[in-house]
This record gives sequence, C-alpha cells and structure tokens, in this order.
Amino acid sequence: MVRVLALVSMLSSSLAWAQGPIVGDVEGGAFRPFPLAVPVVRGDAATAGAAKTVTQVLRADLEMSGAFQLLDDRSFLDSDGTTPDAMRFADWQNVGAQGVVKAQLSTTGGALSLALYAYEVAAQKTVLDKKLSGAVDDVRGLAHAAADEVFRAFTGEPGPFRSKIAVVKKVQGEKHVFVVDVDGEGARQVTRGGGLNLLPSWSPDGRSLLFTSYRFDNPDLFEQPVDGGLAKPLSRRPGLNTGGKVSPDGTKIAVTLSQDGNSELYLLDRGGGVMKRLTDQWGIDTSPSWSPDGSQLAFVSSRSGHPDIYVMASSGGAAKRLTFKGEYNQTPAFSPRGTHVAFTARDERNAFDIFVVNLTTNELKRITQGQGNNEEPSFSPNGRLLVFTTTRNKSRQLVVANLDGTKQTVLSASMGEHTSPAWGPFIR
Amino acid sequence: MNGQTGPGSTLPALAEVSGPSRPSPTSGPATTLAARHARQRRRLTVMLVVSLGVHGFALSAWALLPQAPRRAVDLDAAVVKTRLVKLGKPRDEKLLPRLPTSTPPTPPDKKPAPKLDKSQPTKPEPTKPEPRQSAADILDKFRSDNSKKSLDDLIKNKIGEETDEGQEHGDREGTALDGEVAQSYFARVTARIQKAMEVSSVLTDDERVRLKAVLCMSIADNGVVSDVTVKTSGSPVFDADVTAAARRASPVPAPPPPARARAAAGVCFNFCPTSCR
Repeated sequence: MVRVLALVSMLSSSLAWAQGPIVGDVEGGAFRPFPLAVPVVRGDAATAGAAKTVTQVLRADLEMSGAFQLLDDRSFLDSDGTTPDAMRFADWQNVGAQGVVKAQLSTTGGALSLALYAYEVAAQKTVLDKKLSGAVDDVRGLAHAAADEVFRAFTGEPGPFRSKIAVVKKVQGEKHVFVVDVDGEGARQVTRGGGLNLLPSWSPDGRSLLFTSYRFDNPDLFEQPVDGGLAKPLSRRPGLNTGGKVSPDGTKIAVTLSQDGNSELYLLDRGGGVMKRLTDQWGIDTSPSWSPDGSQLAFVSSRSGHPDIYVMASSGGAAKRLTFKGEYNQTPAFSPRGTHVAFTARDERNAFDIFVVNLTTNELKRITQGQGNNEEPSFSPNGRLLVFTTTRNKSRQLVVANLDGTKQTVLSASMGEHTSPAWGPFIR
Repeated sequence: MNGQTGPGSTLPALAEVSGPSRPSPTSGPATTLAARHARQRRRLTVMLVVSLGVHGFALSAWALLPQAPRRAVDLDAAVVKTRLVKLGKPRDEKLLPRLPTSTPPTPPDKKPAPKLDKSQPTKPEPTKPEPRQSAADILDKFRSDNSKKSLDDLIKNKIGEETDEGQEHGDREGTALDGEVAQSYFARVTARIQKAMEVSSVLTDDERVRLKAVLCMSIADNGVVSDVTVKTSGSPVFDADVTAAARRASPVPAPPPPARARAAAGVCFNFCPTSCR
C-alpha cells in the first residue's frame, strides 16, 4: 500500500510541470561562483610534497578564475574515494558543494601521473575522468594543466591556466620583457640588453614576442622567439615604431609609426614592409588591438581633442568612436570573444582605472575603483579574465580579474615594477 | 458646670429626643420626622427606578441598534516601496561611471539617516522625466495611487458594476477580483523566488542566453513549498540553481483565499539565466 502511494505521489509530482499553469518568469539573478570542493590531492610517500603543491596551485587557479567558490577544506571530511563508484554524493551535498574535484598523484616511469576526476553533485554525474602526466620538475605546470581540465569540465570552455603572460619588469635600471605563469610565478627573462624594452605582444602561435626596444636609441620594433634566440628588427623607421600587434591569422602586423611626423596606424607584413597606411588624421592614432576575426582594430585617437577609443575596419576606412565619457581613454584590448573592449581611463579624480565597453550595447562598465591606479588591461585567451597593472599595494603589480570586477587577485609573486602585461594565447 | 458635661449628663438628653417609646405631650415633631423619612424613601425609590431605566435603555440600545460597519483590513494591498534618494545634482553625463560601492561610509559622529515618517511621505523617484509636475501634484498622485482601499470598495468597484460576462475557459465561481488577487499573489511569489535566484557563473555565454527550465511546485496555505519538480534545462548545474532558489524562497507569502486552490494544485515558473524572451 505504501509503495502504491509513493508511486502515485511520484507520478503526480512528475506530471505537475505538465499540468500546472505558468504563473511567472524568473529571469536572471545574481551570478555567483560555483561552490566547489577540492580536497587535498592524494599521493604516496614519494609524491606527498608534489601533491601538496598541486593542491595549492589547483585551488588558487580555480579561485582566481572567479567562476568557482572553493569550500574551506575544514568544512568537509574527504572520507570517500576518488573514483565514481566510491563517491558519496549525499555527503558532499550536505556540505554545500555543487561540484567536487578529486585527484590522485603517483609516479610512473620517472614522471608524475595525476588521475583527475570531477563530479556534479546534484546530478551525481562524472564530468571529468582523465589521467594527466608531467615532468617531476614541473609540478606547477601539471597543476595548471589540471586546473584547465577542471575549468573545461564545469564551464565547457578551455581554461587559461597553462597560458603565459608577457610583462615588462624593471631590472637594475633597465626594463626587460619577462614571461610569467598566470599566477605570476615562474618568471623568465626574454630580452637581454638594449636598456629599454617595452610593449610586448604575442604572435598568435605563442612562439614569439613583438616588442619595442631602444637598443639603437630609437623606439624600434623587434620580434624575438619566446624560448630564446636573437631579437630580429621588424621596423626601424625614424620616429616611433611601437605597439606592434600580429593579426590573428599571423600574416600582418598593425603598428604605430611616426615616420611622417605624426603618429598613425600602419599595416606591415611579417617581414616589416609597409602594406598600408590605415589612418590619416591630425591627431595621434596609436595602440592598435585586433578583433578575434581580424576584421577590426580598436585603437586610440585624439582626433576629438582628447584620447578616446575607436574601432575601424582593419582594411582602413572610417572609424567609429566607442568612448564618450572621460577625457583620457587609452590602451584598448579587444576581447577574444569579440564582444567587449577593455581600456584604461582617467576619471575626474585623476585616478586611472579599468573599464569595459560592450560592443553590442555600448554599455560602459567600471572594473576598478578606489584602489590606486589600474592600467593596461589584456584579456585572457578565453575572454573571461583580464590582467592589468595596479599600484594598490604601492609597487606596480599584476592583477587578474573577472569581467565584472567581483574577483580581483593581486599576483603576490609580481613584486617590483611591472608594466604592459600581455596575456598569451592558449597552449595547445 | 464643667463637671456635668460628661456622658452621664448627655445621654438622658439624647434619649429624650430620639427615644420612640417615649410618650410625647404633643404629636407635632414626630409626625414631621416620619414624613421627612417617607419623602426621602420615595425620592430614593424614584431615583433608583430612573437609574435602572436609563441603564436598561442604554443596554438595550447597545444590544439592539445596528452597529457601524467595521473597516475591512485589506491584506492584499500592494506594499508601497520607497527609496530615499540623495538630494543633489545628477552626475555629469560626460564623466566616467562610478561603482556604487565607492560611496564613502557615513562618519560615526554623524546622525543616522532619519527613519521614514508616514506623516511626511517621501517623493517617489520619478521614472519618466518628461512631464514637469509640481511637488503638490506628485504628492496628490502618490496619495491617490497608494491610498488604502477596503475590500468593500474593491468589490464595489470591480464586481458591483460589472455584468455576468466572463471568459470562455474561466471559473464559474471566479470573479475579476479573484483573478487580480491571484495574479498579484503569484507576481509576489515570482519576485520572492527571483530574489533567491543565483545563477552559477560556470555557465557559458551560450548557456546564459539559451537555457530555460520550468519549475513546478505546490504552495500550502501557510506558504510552504512542496512537490518541487523541474523540467530540465539541459544543464544539471542550472537545474540545481533553480531547485536551490525554490528551496531558499520557501516559505513564500501565504496565498490569499482566491489563490489557494491554484497554489495547492501546483503552479509553474519559467527560469532563464538572463532573459526568457
């Protein structure tokens, strides 16, 4: 009898959605980070230290993304297994986790092997079951790779945690281009000599960097392989040769030249030859940034009397003004999704802050405020995060933030003077 | 003389005046006293009768006369929300926007903001700036829009002047007022769930535009939600967000009598991460 009643109850409740009238629309709601439990990565005696590092890096990456809210590991007991058949989902639901990440680290043939699992608790579903391997001396790289996999499992989008950030760092009176991990660790100097090396940007394949160097006492454009090698001059024309950016298809370079007496945008071929002059204005035109499909360029122009952000076709032609507020808008960065342009603006209190304009709605959104000067934004390759510099802790450090500014992480490893961060492409 | 002022000398005198058995040489003073007592008794009796009559009349009037109708308490009257708007000049449109969190905290030595005083209703924030109205016009409109109407007034306005016309698929016992009350109620429930709704930020841009779940539930007379079912959106994450919102929103406002049957039978809500349109 009880079973019959239960069956009737289940049937009636399952049919309720088909029978009940729709009486309201619940639209939107506050976006909140996904509650995720990441218990300590398990390891044997030989991998205990590495497991601890993997746990720390994995948690920091996921937290930094702003997409996840990591549960305090004192709020749960990780007493079940790691594999799907050993999971006790009810326990995880009780502690408020909507997702759980489990991992087991071991050594196989002198390399690290990480068995990685991710689960959606409510649906009791395995969303990730993968084995990753990495060198014993690259534990952090393995952890970043794990973070990428977890990010993709829950969001369906590739994670940016294995990608690199190029940044200019002041070293003993000189400025050099460095490449760092997304958490600011693992800094590696790319340029050597030349005094001032500025404004780095990545080639689309992530193998080389363009930058402006004063090594010949003029701001000239160079390209240098990331993994070492000589810097190759691309443009050594009189005046400015700055802000070089390679097009997404890798065939052209947009750059600012002042060879004709005024800063204008030009297109160069990959060898440095001029293909086309894009702008011809009395004002200064500079800082080009490619749209992801290569059809448009965002740039700065002072043709209205003060620096503003404009967008124009990459083949040239009329430019559309994007910013109408503020009187000093600069360093635009096109989102890899093609939906937003981030830039630096100076407000009426003479503070530099990060803003994002939606290209569809023209809505202008402020990301930073009241925390020192924040400048030079650059998008992560998946378009979900920004990196920029900040003086909120006195020295000019790097910050990784999500697009609504609700999660901002100052990279503590980035002590010292950092400028012009450029987030590199995905690592394939 | 002083020795004769004791009790021994006064008692005989009193007995001489008040003793009833004492034979009197003449009946004049005794008759006068008796008549005075009789008058006093009659007067007392009359006053007693009059008093009883007045009280009886008042009691009868209180019990029998029709009483003035009591003012109905309108439990379904819309809640008037007000917001204090800082007085000052609007921000220059040419300036960059500022985040609301930047408002400097109130210094501790300053007095807290005054509480809303009903005797001085605040001016509601105008939604459309076009028509320029005087403060008196706005105040009158605010008062007329938000004046409490009794249930009797509502019935008189909505039902008393209407015919028996209705909807083809309407309820035989239903009235326009019932419909309005129910509609207003479910709008309040929707708002309650909306407030409790949180969308996981792991949803992709595509999912934020595309996903749509339908949640159905029963609402008891005390507002407690039960029998929650979800027609899946295709994303277990968003389905979990929707279910969690219903759980957080319970108990919702208790349904008024016209909405109880529908609420108990089960109602459904569309859920979309950004917009259902």
